[in-house]
Amino acid sequence: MRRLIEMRKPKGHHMAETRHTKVLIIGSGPAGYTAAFMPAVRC
Amino acid sequence: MLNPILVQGIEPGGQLTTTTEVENWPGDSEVQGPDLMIRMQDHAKAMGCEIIGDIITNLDTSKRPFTATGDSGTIYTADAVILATGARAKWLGLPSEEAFKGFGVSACATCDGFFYRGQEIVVIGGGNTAVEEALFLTNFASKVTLIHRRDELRAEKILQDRLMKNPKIEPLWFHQLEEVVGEDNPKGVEAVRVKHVETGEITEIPCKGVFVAIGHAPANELVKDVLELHNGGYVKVEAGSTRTSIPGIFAAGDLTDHVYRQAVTSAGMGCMAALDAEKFLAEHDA
Repeated sequence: MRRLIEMRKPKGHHMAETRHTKVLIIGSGPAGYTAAFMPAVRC
Repeated sequence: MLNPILVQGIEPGGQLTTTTEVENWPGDSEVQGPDLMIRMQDHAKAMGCEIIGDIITNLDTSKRPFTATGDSGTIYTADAVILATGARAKWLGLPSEEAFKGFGVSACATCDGFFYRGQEIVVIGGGNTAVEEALFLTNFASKVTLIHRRDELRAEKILQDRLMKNPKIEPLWFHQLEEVVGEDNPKGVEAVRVKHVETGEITEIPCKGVFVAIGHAPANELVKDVLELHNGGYVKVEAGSTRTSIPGIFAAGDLTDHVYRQAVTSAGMGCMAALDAEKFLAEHDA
């Protein structure tokens, strides 16, 4: 189970960063993970 | 490359991390839920997806690029968003229910029913979920007591008919669960105490399993005020697609599916969402 949990970002960074992505997937069940490998595979 | 970013949310791996054997995943006659999710995560990483341990607390869908705010303070902007936040089983909120979760108390007959072969169990609820779970559990249990606080079910008539004809199921009307009773060593359920809603009389029913089947709630907090919903809060998508009421926002899995709710159907919808998002981006960003 430990491997499922990515290093959690600490709450409320003082230096908030901004990340841009073409596709943002929110959620990590079967739907989220399957969506996650589909775009990369097809492009 | 689309280089997607996946933000895991509060429960990495979703509901499957709280189940044991998954017996209907194609290609695996039996796989543990957490193991399956680790494999899927590894697959996503191997294909170039960045997976981030953060919790999205706000999603601004008013203009593109969409803006999501993480609990960490990180701001994520995206040309398209796939919502896959899932759903959560509803629980009664009893301390004893919490104490025996995973040790005789479950909210998923499909996941855990197999463990109660030849044993007596109880199901709590009176809607479609409860009746379907009770019927399914008769494949394993010697007896299923359906505990409901009214004297009639909310389930569809056809389900009620099947339930009433099943000799293994005994409805117990006008009762509600008061306490799950069990042992600590080894930890497990031994009985439930139920209360008659009119007389207050307490009855103890011996059982090894308690299935709480009072429904599921979609995890729609991010979008419940901006997206079109249906069937009690599930995100509505166009038929045959994952397109929501806002172009560029897609929804997949239990967040939108109130019918099937299986890992394999969720994965299928995740695939559809990715293809829908790609098509959307190709049409709008060319």
